Amino acid sequence: MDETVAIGGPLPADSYLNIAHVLQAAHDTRADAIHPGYGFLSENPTFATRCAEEGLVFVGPPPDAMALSGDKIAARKSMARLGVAVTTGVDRPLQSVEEARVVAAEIGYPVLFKATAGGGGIGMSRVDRPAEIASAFESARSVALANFGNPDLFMEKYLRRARHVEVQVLLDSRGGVGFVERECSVQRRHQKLVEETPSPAVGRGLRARLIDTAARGLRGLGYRNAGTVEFLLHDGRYTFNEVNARLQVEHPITEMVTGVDLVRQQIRIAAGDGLEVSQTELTRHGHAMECRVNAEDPIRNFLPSPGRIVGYREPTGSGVRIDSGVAAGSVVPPYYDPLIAKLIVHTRNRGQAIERMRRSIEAYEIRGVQTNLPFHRELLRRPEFVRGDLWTTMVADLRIAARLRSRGPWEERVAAIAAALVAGGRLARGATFPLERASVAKWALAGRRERLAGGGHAISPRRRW
Amino acid sequence: MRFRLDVDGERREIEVEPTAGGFVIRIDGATYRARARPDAEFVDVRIGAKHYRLRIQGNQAILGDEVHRLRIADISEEPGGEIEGRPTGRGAVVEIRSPMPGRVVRVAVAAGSQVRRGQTLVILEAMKMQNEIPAPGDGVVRQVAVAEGETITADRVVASIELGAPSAS
Repeated sequence: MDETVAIGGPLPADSYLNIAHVLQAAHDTRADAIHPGYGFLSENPTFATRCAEEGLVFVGPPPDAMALSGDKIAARKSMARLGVAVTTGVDRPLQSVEEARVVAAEIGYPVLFKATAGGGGIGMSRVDRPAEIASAFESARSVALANFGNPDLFMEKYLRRARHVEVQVLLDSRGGVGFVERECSVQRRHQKLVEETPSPAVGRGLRARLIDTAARGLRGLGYRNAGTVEFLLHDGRYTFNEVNARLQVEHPITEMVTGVDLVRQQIRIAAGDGLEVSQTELTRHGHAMECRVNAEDPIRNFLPSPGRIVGYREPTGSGVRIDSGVAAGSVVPPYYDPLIAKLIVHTRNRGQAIERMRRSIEAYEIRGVQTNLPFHRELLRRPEFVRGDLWTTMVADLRIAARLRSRGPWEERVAAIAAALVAGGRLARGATFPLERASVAKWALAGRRERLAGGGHAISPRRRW
Repeated sequence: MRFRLDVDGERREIEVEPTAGGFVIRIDGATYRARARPDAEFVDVRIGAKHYRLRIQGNQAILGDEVHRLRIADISEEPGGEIEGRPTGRGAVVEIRSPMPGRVVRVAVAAGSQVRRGQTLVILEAMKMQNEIPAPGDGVVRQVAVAEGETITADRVVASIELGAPSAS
């Protein structure tokens, strides 16, 4: 039976990030396990440890493996020891701007500062020129401290026009499976916007190597349960980027093409029941794509758009899946991430997936908050995207949001209504009647008719009621 | 002309500018070019390749088989400036309002600070993104109306600035 429990105030620190409150809620409902979802405490080894201490099963990796993968430098070193190519960079925290300057000169600009304790694309800062390094160092440190409680930075070579490709792995005590890669190159400020599987850039040989590398890498960290190894694909080579020690937002596309329920497998592994699928049994069919629907206004530089949803209609049809947490009347609060829904399509091939996605976007109606659906509509029209020519800075490089002029069919209707009101003289000077008045007094109506008909001023134009 | 139009409960700020043969309609930064031809019963509106035949009846707009509830407020004849409804020019005091609800993570200026156009006044965190609220013009901060750590609603005054070129000193 489903039950919901209030775990505190709306600020994350009072609720979803509050370990004591979450554990109390588990005890109050006599839960025996916690699935941490993604975000918040899902990659927090302290939380995983506290669960174990309280006799609760944490549905995720062991705390040690989580701590190891969460320390970006330790993860790099560990992967390198296993013979996995890592992106050129340093494997130590940089102590000063001077040290950063020396390292950057060695590996060559552009370079990328990354937070040692970072993740989720936060705390990364690209530096193109020596003149920028001092200010980038200071600001990246302060962002890292504010977000992860640790200001340490390391540095990697920044790869231009690289693809982001990742492999989902499930490991239990006996063995494991690695899934067909997901391509997540469409990003803005290091936040993924569109994911698809398989990658249009990966062939059979490369796929086998990526899967093998990811599974071997995670096993080497002493990993169990679901995890993802992210790679950068550049000039036909791949290098290790980072490990995500949790289920990921984009997991549905893997589920669609393989038919494996990843959350079910996570729970089975945590319960000691083991995987229901093996590498040799794993099959895949077709192509899946996901657009993240965020409450952000792409026409105003992705300004967050919290508020009340007054109209909501999801697209339907075969091969269309929506994972959402909203309905008409829902309030999108300003306290959390702007993701309100995931629009997922699954079809025979990539071309059909793009077409199905386009139609689904047209049919998706969300009113009351602005969303990035117009951005997705524009992206899916771009020849680069259609060709499968994807890279991590394509959204900025192609100025996709800057080209947007319209928010789509619904708002065009509003514009048509506005044009009709003005053209029909409904807003002419003097016609200051509020249209919302359902019952307008007869004398006022008479006066209004007279005015609209060009008659005398029965009521002073300034008068309002 | 500017007005606030609420269609089926969703409110938009609309700006309509007549042009030769039609209108430019701006809705929160999006732009639509429309041609409209009213007759006794209907208004025919063309936007791009799309054609809309509307009937406005009381507080309803009838479009195809859909009826939309309308509410109109704050009609004004003035074209919109860059800063909404502000008095402009040297010495004018403008209020800077929050574009969305959020938590004030940083107040970057204090009363009496000289600021330049575009300079960050306040950083507002909403949806895990830090959003800078910039000064709309050069001037002196008269008042800062929010404090760090405070959670504020949309459209709250965060600061007021007296416009005018900052002195060289």
